[in-house]
Amino acid sequence: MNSGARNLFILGAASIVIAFLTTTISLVVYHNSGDIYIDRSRPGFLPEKAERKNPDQVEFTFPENGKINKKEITKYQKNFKAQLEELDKFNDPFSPAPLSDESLGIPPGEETPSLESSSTDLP
Amino acid sequence: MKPVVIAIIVLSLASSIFPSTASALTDLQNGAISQNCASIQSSLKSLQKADSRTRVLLGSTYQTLFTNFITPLNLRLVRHSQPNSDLIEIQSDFTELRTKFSKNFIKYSQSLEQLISIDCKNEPEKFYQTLSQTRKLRAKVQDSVQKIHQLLSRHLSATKTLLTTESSK
Repeated sequence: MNSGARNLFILGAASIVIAFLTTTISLVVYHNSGDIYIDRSRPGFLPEKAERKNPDQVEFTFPENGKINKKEITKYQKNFKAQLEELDKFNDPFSPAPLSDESLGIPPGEETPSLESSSTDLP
Repeated sequence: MKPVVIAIIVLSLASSIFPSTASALTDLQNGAISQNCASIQSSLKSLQKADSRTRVLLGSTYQTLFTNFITPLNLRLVRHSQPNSDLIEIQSDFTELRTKFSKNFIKYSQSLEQLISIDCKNEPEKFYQTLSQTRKLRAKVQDSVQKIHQLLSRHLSATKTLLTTESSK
């Protein structure tokens, strides 16, 4: 192998190693930052179309400038309550039920581990 | 004689501090986990997707409330030289709780992902141990959500007080 061919081989190998390293680092950062869990590009992890807000709908924004009076605060409260109603649509988010033994089809043990902080059945 | 006594005390203390969860699994539970492994994994995968959707929807609503309501109201009050200490405190607590919610969700999701990757058919005890840990982390996410919602109710009450003050002027 002449020196030109050797240099070309080294260049190719180095490129592959660098590409592998940078991809690995990117994936580690993507995973550890938690972005992987809320990535909108992952199919199935996206909110359904019906669940999403209508993008054409103009969201209310309380302007920083303006008067402070009864009318303005009432308007603020009305729109704020509408947002709170959106939150009320979630029925007990992150409740312990889906991970309970019962939900997963695991029979109750004689002595269950005391690691469950959310358990309320125990005396 | 003394080293033996010390060793017994240390061992008994260690066992009380780090209880063995694996031994708490009964044969019936072990068998059920191994037998139903496929359906358990399937339920967990569905839950993972549902949780991500809930996280995104809750997070975007919190973001809207913060940028379109809580912050501009405080800015307007400051501009009129009427800063409300209660509302400012709520804004600061809200920022803190949102960060906590995001961090707790990441920890929980990582644990859930680890749980899904465990071969529950052959390692039911390890699976149950991780499941217990995941439950604890999920409870933390639920706690931060509840705290945020309580804070939002407090914010609404504070604006009612503000309205009463403005009405009486």
